[in-house]
Amino acid sequence: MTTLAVAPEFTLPSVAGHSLALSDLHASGPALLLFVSEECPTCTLTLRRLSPAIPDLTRAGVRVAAVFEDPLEVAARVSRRTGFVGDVLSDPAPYDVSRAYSLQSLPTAVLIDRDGHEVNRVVGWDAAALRTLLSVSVTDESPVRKPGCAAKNTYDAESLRALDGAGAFDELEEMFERGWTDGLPAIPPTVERVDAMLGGRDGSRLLGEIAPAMARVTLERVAACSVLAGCRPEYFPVVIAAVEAVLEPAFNVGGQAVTTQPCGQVIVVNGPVREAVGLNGSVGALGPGWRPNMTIGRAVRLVVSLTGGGFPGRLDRSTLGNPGKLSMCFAEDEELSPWEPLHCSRGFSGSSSVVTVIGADAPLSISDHRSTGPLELAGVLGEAAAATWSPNWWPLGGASLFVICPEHARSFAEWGWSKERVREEMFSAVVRPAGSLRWGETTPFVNAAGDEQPVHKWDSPDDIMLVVAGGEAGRYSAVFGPCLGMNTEAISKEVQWTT
Amino acid sequence: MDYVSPFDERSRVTEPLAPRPADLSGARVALLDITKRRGDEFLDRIEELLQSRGAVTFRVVKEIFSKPASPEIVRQIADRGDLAVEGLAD
Amino acid sequence: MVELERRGVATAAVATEPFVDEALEQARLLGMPDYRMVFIRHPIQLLSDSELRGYADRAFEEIVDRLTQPTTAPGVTQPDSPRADGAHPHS
Repeated sequence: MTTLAVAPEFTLPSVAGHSLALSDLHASGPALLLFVSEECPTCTLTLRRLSPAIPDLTRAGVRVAAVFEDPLEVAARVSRRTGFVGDVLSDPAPYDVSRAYSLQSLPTAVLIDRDGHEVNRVVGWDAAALRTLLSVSVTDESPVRKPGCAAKNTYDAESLRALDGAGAFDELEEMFERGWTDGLPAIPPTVERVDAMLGGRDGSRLLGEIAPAMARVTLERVAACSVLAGCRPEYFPVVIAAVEAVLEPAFNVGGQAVTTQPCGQVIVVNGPVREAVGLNGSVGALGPGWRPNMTIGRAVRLVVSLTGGGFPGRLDRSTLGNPGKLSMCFAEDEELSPWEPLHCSRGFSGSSSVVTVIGADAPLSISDHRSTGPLELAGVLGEAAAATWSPNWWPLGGASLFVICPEHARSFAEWGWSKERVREEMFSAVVRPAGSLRWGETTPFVNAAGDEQPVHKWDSPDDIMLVVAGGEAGRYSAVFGPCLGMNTEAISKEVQWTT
Repeated sequence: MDYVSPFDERSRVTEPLAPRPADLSGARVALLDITKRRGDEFLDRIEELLQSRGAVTFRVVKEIFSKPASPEIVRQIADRGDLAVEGLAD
Repeated sequence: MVELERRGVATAAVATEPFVDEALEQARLLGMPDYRMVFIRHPIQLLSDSELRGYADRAFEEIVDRLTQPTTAPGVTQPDSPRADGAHPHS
C-alpha cells in the first residue's frame, strides 16, 4: 500500500471574512483544493465547469475550496464571475502555500483525505482525470483537456514585481477597450443589469434589423444599450418606443448613420410617461442635468452607433458631428403650452404616451425680447431658420423642428394665435426673390426660377414642427438644423407602459 | 466575459487589419516583451531569426502584462516600426 | 495588438494555448474578428534553454505568416463566414 504524503498545513484568509485552515477543510471529510489564478484562462474554465459538481461533492462529504494566487478581492470577483460557490481563499505573493504544494502550473486540483493526506492531484483541465479523482459527473464539453499556465510561485522576484497591481480589472476601462461607449464612461451590461432592464420581457423578441450593419435588434440588445447608457429600468418602455420609431423604413436611420451630414436622432416625448419617468421639458430641457433625458437619448444613439454600426469615424462619416449625437431627448411642456401637444397634432389621443423621433442637427438659439406683436415674433422665429442648412438653400426640402419657449408661446396665446396660425405666418414671413438667392449653395428650384419669383424657406407650413419646452423665465426659443436629401420622415410611436 | 453585448456578432461591422508587406527584408519589426517569465528569451530567438531574414528589429517592454499596451508604447512602436511581434503570454 | 493594427502596424501575437481563446475573443470584441494568433501548446517556464529555442524556431514560420500574408478586406461579417484562424488549437 502506498504511503500518502501529509498535505502541508496552512491558514489563509477567506472571502467569508475569517481565516480557514487546511485542518478546518478536512475536519469532517475529504477536501478538494483548487489552486487557481485570475490570469489563467484554464483556471476560470475549471472553476466554471466544476461549479455544477459542487452540490454532489458536498453531498459526498467533500469540501471544495478554491485557493487563488491573487489578492482576496480579486479572488472574490473571479468567483462571482465564474459562479463558483465553494470556499474561496487567497494565497497572494509570495505564494507560500503554492510553493509548499510544489505547484508548477495552474490549475492544480489536490484531493486531501480526512486525515490530511494528499490522495492525488490533477494538473490542468482534464475532464477524465477529474471524473476519476472525484467520482462525480464532469462535463464532456470540448476541450476535454487543456493545459494551464505557470504557477506564480515559479516566477523570479523581478517578474513578481511586474505582477504587482496587474490583477486590477477595471470594468469601466474594459467598456472603453471594447469600444462599448460613445467616448463617455458606460455602465457594464452585466447579465443581472440587463435582466433588470428587461423587467421580465422576452429579450429574444426581435424589433427589426438596423442599417448599416443589418444587425438584428433584439430587446436584449436594446436593454444592453440602455444599461450602457445609464438608464433606469423605468425608462426602458420609452427607449423601446424610440427604437421602434428609428427602425421604421420611412425614418431611414441607415442614411442618417453613414452620412457626412451632422444629424443625430432627436426624441420628443409626450403624455403621462413624462412625469412617470421624470423627463424634463422645462428649464434647460435641451441640455444636460436630467438623467431620463440624457440616458434615454443616449441609449437610442448607442443602438444606432454600436448595434447599428453607425459609429463616428467608422461608417458614420459625419464631417463635424453635433453634440446631439451623444443624446437629445426632451419632454414637451404640455402644461405650459397654450396649444395642443405634438402627439395630438400627429393623431394620437392626449392621454397616450408617445415618442416622436426626428433626424436633426444641433439647435440654434433664437432670442426675442423685443417683438411687440405676433407677426413680428413669427417673423423673427422664421428668419432665424433662414440660414439653416445653408443661407441660400431654399426651399429646405425637409422639416424644421422649433422649440418655442413658454414666454413666447404665452405671448402668442395672449395675441390669440393658434399653433396653426403661427406656422402659417412663419412660413409666409420667410420669403425672398429667387434672384437674391442665386449664389453659394442654391437649390435646383432657385436656379430654374425667374429672378423675381418668390421663394419660401419651406415647401409648406407642414414642414414647420412646433413644440413648447423650456424654463418659464427667458425669451429664447430654438430651431433644430435639418436632415436633408434622404427621404426621412419624423416617426411617432406609442409607449407601451403601465402606470 | 459575462456581459451582454450590444452587438449582433453575426453582422458586426469590422475594422480592417493593417496591410501586410510581401516579405520581411528591410522591415522594421518591434518586439514587444510583455514581461512574462522567459518571454524575453523566446523573443531573443525570434529576433535572431527575423534579422536573418533581413528585418531590422528593436525591443519594447510593456511593464504590466495584464493590461493593454499604453498609448505611449503604441505610439513608440507605430513611429519606429512597420511590424510588431508581441509575446509571450504564458 | 488591435490598437497597433488600427495604426497600420501588422502584428503577430504569440501566446500559450490557454490564452488563445480569450485573446481571439478580445480581438473580436474590439472589432477585429479576423485577427489570428500564434499559439504554443505548453507553458514555457520549465523548458530548458534549447527546448525553448526549439519552440521559438517552430513558432517562427507562423509568425512570419501572420506578418506577411494578405488579410481579408474590411466590411460586415456575414453569418457562416469561415474562421480566419484555421490553426485553432481545438479544431
